[in-house]
Amino acid sequence: MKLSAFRSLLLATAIAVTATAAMADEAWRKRAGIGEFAPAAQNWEEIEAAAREEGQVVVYSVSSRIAKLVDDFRERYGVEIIGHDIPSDLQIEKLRREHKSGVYGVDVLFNSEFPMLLNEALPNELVWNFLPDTVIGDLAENEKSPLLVQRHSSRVLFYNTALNPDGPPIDSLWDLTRPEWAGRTLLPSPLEDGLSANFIQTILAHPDEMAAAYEREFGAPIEYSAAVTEAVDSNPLVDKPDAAMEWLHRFLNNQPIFQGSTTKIFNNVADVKQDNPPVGITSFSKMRSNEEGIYAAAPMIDLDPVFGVTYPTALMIADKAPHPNAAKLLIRYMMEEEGLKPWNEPGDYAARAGFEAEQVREFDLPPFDSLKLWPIDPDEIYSSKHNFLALYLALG
Amino acid sequence: MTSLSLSDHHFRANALRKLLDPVNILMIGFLAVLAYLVIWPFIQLVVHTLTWGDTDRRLSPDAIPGAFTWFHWLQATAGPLSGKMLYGPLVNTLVTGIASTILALLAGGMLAWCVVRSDMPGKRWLQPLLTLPYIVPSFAIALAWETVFRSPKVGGQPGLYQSLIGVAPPEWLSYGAVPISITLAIHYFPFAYLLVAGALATIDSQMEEGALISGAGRLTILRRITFPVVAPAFAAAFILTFGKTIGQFALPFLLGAPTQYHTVATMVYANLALGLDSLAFVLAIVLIAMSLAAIWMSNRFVGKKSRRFETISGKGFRSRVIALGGWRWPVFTAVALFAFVVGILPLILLGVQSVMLIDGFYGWENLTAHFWLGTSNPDIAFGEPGVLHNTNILGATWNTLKLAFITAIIASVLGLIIAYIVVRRGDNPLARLLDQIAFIPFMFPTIAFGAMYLTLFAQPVGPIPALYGTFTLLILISVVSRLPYSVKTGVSAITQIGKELEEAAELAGASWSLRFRRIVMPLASSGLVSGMMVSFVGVMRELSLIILLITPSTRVLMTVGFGYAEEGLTQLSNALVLIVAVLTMIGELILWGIGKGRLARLREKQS
Repeated sequence: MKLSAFRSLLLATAIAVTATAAMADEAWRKRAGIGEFAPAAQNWEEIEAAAREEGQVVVYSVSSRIAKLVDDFRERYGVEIIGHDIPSDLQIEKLRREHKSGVYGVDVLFNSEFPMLLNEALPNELVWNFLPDTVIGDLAENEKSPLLVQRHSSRVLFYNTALNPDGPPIDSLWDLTRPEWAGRTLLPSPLEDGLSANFIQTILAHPDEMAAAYEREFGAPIEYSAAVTEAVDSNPLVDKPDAAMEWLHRFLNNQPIFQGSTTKIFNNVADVKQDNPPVGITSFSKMRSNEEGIYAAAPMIDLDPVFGVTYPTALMIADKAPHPNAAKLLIRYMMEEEGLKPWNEPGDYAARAGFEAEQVREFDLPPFDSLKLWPIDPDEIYSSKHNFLALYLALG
Repeated sequence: MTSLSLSDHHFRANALRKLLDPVNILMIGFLAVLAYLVIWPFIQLVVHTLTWGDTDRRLSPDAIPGAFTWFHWLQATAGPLSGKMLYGPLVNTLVTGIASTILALLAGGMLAWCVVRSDMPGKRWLQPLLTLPYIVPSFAIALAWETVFRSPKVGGQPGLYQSLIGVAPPEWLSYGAVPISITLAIHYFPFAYLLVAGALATIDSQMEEGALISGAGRLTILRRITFPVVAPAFAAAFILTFGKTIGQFALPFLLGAPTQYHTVATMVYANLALGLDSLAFVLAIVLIAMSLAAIWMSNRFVGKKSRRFETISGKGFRSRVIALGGWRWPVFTAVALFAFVVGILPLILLGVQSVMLIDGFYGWENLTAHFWLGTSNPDIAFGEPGVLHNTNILGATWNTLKLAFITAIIASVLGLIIAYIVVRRGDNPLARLLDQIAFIPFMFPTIAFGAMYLTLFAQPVGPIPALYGTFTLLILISVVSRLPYSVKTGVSAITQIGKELEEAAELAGASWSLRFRRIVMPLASSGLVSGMMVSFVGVMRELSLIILLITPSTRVLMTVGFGYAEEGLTQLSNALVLIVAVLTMIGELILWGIGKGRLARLREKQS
């Protein structure tokens, strides 16, 4: 009797605490005009005035280039950007822990870890999507929701153009598994670099395309190695072997060279003073490092079935942001020309169609949609991380 | 009747004395504080591995978040992955850990003897040079190795070895166990060097002269006197070096990953990078267990013998160096060459790379001071100004120095007090527990440690104000993470101090705190300074421990450098690493000067 009374007291307290938290959260959303309280029309004069009042905006940023916006933004709106330079996955870890202890200090997240954002941060209401109405017409549906996309970056295969005047030395991802390419592919280790893991995971998610590409390359249907069949047998989460696994197995056993820095990979591929240049998987935007007579490399855009993997970077408002109006203002600003400038470079494509068209002209590159790139599948990558590690270790 | 009451009275007085003994009070106090600062995070780590997390539904359909499970442990130790994830890497960890520790102890011990006990010329400037490899970040040493033994496979320019000899170096020399062991030894031998040098400095020549008069040969003296005296220092160096080499992931990754050579530490890091925290923590606990076992072994070794090695006594002290005779200059040449290759060469390499307009292009026309002195130029490095023009750098420099100095001083004093408790109350199991607890931060995955401290003091707890986002929190975590070093260096220093000095002072009525301040601290000062220097260097280049705790106003140099590296601005990040290295050297010289001055004054008083 006594115990049950105690229990119900505990339960009541628990409900009260949860309810208070929920109410506080609701009050914040109401005040900030976020979520279900988002107004039908955005009044930018009001937002700007309120932002000036708030005086600052705190950002967790995946790129240190956020610092380049500080002066211009202050001049325009009288708001100080406080930028924390933190890798994407750690931003989410930090935000999660801060929330748990009732510390609410950050306003905006600038983050490219979509697998965790969509599967952890968004469903747990740690972050909120905010779509400035000024950019709606310029974005595709999947760039507006579930999160506002600022730009698309990619990891792609580069070759040395100076020493391969007739074009790329290979024409298929399967070429990387041939003996003559043993020990001649550079990439960041998928066990060290999250984006490199995403690259391999995205290939693993396209077994049919990889099988078709195999037939085009070798003219015969694929046969699985014993190691692949064994790896499948010992892994309860995988049903049957497929071409993508076979590719990973052959690729890993063809002595790929893992290097930590994407800059170094580009330089090693692009160095014109060498005899037998390797190919390398690195950031698309590294092509800005080409220098007459020193570095010459280009992405192999015709590679079969794809020459790389692309991933978006998003802007969002943190739950219980102390400066919600300044946050909205900054997000709008970072979608505009001035605010995008630090990230305007060849290989990174702006989400806004208008700016992308300008980039295509300026950098003489094909439009983003026409590129043979696979976008990452955030849910697939998120749910198969462990499975990927298992396969990777078993096949390597 | 009377005798009974007397003994009863005696017993009570004894109990009361024990209770009021300041050392016991301190011991209980430290245990309580470290329980919160070290054990609590450790328990969280263990609990994390034994419960299903929110994200574990990815691993198994049976996962119920919050419920108990052995799943992560079974996965790591018995699952189909265990061979590649735990046992294989475990063998590699033991091989590289033991090989590099032996190499580091040999090198450190011999160099310390040459510098402290012999009449080798040029000691004054060789001494600071020999700590350089620890100051130089481990990646710079790996970089230097790669520059020489680079395999032609990785593309770009051939390595120095290939350019000179004409053939590519064998793969085992480019990547894997051999280069990892050697570079780890180069990076960590300064531990052994500093500790053994500290111990050798306290050897009274009269002991050796006594032995010489009794007819002992040079080798016998070395074996029977010199080595036993420095044994505790060697033991401490062994633990620190072994612990650090098995926990290090940056070097093994750089020199092991190209050929898939993994250690347990790189597997911890890999699992963390993939967001598989539970598996990472299981492996981290394996590493913690390994280093605790190493401590236990070395404590048995030192504990049994330490009483015999007390060298600092109430008697007079004289230190005379040993003449090398004809070997003076050859020994000097060898030591100087070694110091140059392992200490200065990597720094030169970084320096050269920071003045190249285009990274990797060697030529006079490519030299520039832009990355040091230039103002913003939109054509170079995306308009990023040179490091000496960057407004962030000044503030970050001040923060870095403040953090490193304050941490070094607090950590080494606290470490010495804990070491005192550990040595003087060695028969008390609580004291031994304290020793073990103080070592745990050494093996903790630093990112996870930082994450736990982020909100450890988010709200005020009793008299402690909320520390979230403050500089104090940075100092706190830095001090705790440096305790393993300072306790170990403290233990090796205190072991050498004879009890009779304190007993005399106690009889004369000196309180414990007076005794500690006036006798123990001065006599242990060479060990204290070694501890300070090691802590100072460590904090100067710490990044992953504090990356989550840093705010823009508490930014340190390494976070600025991280930003550069992330943007691929190699020259700027190299320039910054060089600045950190130079500041570290200046800081070390200051600490060393303070310590040396105190020690010298003390010696004067004694003789």
